[in-house]
Amino acid sequence: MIEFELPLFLALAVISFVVTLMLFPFVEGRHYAAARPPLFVGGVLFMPLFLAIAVVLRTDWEPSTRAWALGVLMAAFWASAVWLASERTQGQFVSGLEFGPGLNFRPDLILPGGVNLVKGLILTGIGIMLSVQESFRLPAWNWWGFFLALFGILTLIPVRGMVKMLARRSRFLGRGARWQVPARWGLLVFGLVVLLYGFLAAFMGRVPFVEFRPVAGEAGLAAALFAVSVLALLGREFWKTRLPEGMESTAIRFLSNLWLYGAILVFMYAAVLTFMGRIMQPHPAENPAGLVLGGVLFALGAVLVLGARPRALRNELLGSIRIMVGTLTTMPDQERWRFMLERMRTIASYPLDQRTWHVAQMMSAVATLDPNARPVVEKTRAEVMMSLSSEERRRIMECMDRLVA
Amino acid sequence: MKLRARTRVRFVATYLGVFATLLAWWYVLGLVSLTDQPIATLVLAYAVPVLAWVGVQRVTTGTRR
Repeated sequence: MIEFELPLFLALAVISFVVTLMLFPFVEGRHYAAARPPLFVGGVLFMPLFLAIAVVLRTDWEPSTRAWALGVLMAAFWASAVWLASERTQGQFVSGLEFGPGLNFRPDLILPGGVNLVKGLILTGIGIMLSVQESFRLPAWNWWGFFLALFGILTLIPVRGMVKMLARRSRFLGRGARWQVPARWGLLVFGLVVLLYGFLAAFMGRVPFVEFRPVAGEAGLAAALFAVSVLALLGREFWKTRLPEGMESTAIRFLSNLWLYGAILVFMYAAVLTFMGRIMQPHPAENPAGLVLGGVLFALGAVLVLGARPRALRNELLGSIRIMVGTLTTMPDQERWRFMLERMRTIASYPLDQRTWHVAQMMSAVATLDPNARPVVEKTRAEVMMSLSSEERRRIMECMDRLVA
Repeated sequence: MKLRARTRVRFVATYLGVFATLLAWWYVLGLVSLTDQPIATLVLAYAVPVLAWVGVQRVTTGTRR
């Protein structure tokens, strides 16, 4: 019996809107593939695979059949996040998608890092659920829980992604950044709460808001773990503001995501304690299959957050610089001059290595521009150089000399 | 980014098309799963996004007629 439920339609409405928004060719025409590379398109089109996972979880098949079918679906669910970490996911600048100075409607700049985080957490969460059961039992499904979880996904991927994009532009232009830490942290915690509650309710097969409530059993420990987790996430946001943007080493980027992942694992366990009301731990003797399958899914989730995400975020940064330089070609002269002046002054204030890196990225981005549009940016750059103070000019020229040498 | 009225209409039409496709996909997947055919269910589960991917590439790179 196939049931048409209201939350199914609501979830489909949200998913359809997101897919359409990310893939619709607003103005690109024949330049579509430049703004939305095939890897990005594939990553978006595999996101609705949730529907197939829901169907399999609701079948009457043997548990072993459902388990391997779920594994086959999870393979694509995982792979379509991994390939988003490729540098070929972010496209080139395409004129007509601007929605503010230095900003372009470019979901390819915010999707990869967000998807790697969200899918990594979902796989990790399912892995934990399977691992700590006393007997092998696959997750259940309810559409209300999934519909709610979608808002957690929307908070963590597009909303937080756009806030991070605006924050990055502010930093690049040397503007005030006080709002950035609370905004990023608040959206992360809010998104996590909604995502975890929604998916826990969905996988437990309960209807949220009515039946799925906290249990008092381990409330003290759960509250302490929640506090540790959100404070660790806040500490990470402050720590990140002290890093030289663009110059973070591979080890630092890994450490940043390890910190994030560790804090969220504590958050997840606190959520499990809250809704189960008792300490949960693996039962290798009674449930070896659950431990093995759960362990594999946990490992796949960890690979996304710790392996793919740092790479995706790096590519997003490089893509953002490339696209930001592209938007200069469409600005009115006065606005372009002011924008480039703020940007050059900010770069001039950086330490030498960071300054050189940003100058190199800006020059590389200018080189990728359309040959007809490039002279406009180069002319403004020359004018801005003359408008800088002698010390600022010296600091920029020092980088150029280094790059030439 | 200012959208023309025609672009907005095309956007809504595309949205409705995506919605209808996903609903039909989910429904047929459910029907096939009821026949206890896990392989067929999985093939259908993969076929739709793969075909959509190929379709988007063909349409947007101008290789369609």
